[in-house]
Amino acid sequence: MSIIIYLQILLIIISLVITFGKDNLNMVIFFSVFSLICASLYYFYRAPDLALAEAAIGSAIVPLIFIITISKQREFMVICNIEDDFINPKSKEGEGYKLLSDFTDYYNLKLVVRENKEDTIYGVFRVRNVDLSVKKKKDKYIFEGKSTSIIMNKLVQMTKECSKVDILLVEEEQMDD
Amino acid sequence: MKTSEILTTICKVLFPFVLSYGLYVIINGHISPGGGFQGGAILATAILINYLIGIHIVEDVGLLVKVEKYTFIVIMLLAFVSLFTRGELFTNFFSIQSSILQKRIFLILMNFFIGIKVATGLIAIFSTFIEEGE
Repeated sequence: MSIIIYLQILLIIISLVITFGKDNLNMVIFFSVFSLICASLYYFYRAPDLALAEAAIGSAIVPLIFIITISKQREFMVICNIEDDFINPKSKEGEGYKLLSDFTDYYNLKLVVRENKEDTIYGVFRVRNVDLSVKKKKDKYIFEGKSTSIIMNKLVQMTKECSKVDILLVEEEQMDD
Repeated sequence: MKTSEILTTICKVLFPFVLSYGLYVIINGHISPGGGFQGGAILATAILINYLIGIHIVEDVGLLVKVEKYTFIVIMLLAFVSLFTRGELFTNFFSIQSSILQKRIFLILMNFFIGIKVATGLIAIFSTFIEEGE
């Protein structure tokens, strides 16, 4: 019976670590450990059926969701509506591409440039988490970004010298179309 | 994110063992802990863990969703069989006097189809979640 008390004390310590931790990835790993200890506690309380479900769901699938979500947060999504050499996603060249890659390197993000075609968007959900969309109007390139995003201020500062680029900050709802 | 070589190798080595363990939990669900839901979740984990090391197994999500829906229809039909053999809904289709060897056929079939439904459903949800916008 003493092993149950040790496991319960360990459970309390780990839940405190999860609550007050700062690093997201560490939090996910501790969450998986939490589920594993929970599963062994269920086993000692004579519920092995529940322990199997907890071990499968809590310590494998839920951490997988969190890890995928964290790795998706580190992307900077750009939708490209122009067809000249200003931004060339395939050869990774062009003036605009260099500007954007400098910007994403500053924040340690991964730059993802996507051309706006119907058949490139698949999956049940449409792409809604676009950070920046690029358009062309009378020899000027217009970068459209969310006004609520904090890192857009840095992009405004970086593109002050470049005369070709205008930055337009719009509300969140208008980015959808 | 960069994946290390240790993680890649361990995932590849563990993959067949996790698959067979999931099948074991499903097939032995009537006499041991576990059953359709737990075994299906383990099967889904075995396939989804490959996304961590960059292998995309699932090609067509629509086919998976179709399989899941048809499995659901099969489960409902299996539950309706008892209406014709015993006159009751949603019970075992063998009578209550029959031996335990006959009665467990219903549980094995039910666990098997529930396992397939849970596994395909979880894989479909996660594949759409991972491939969103790619």
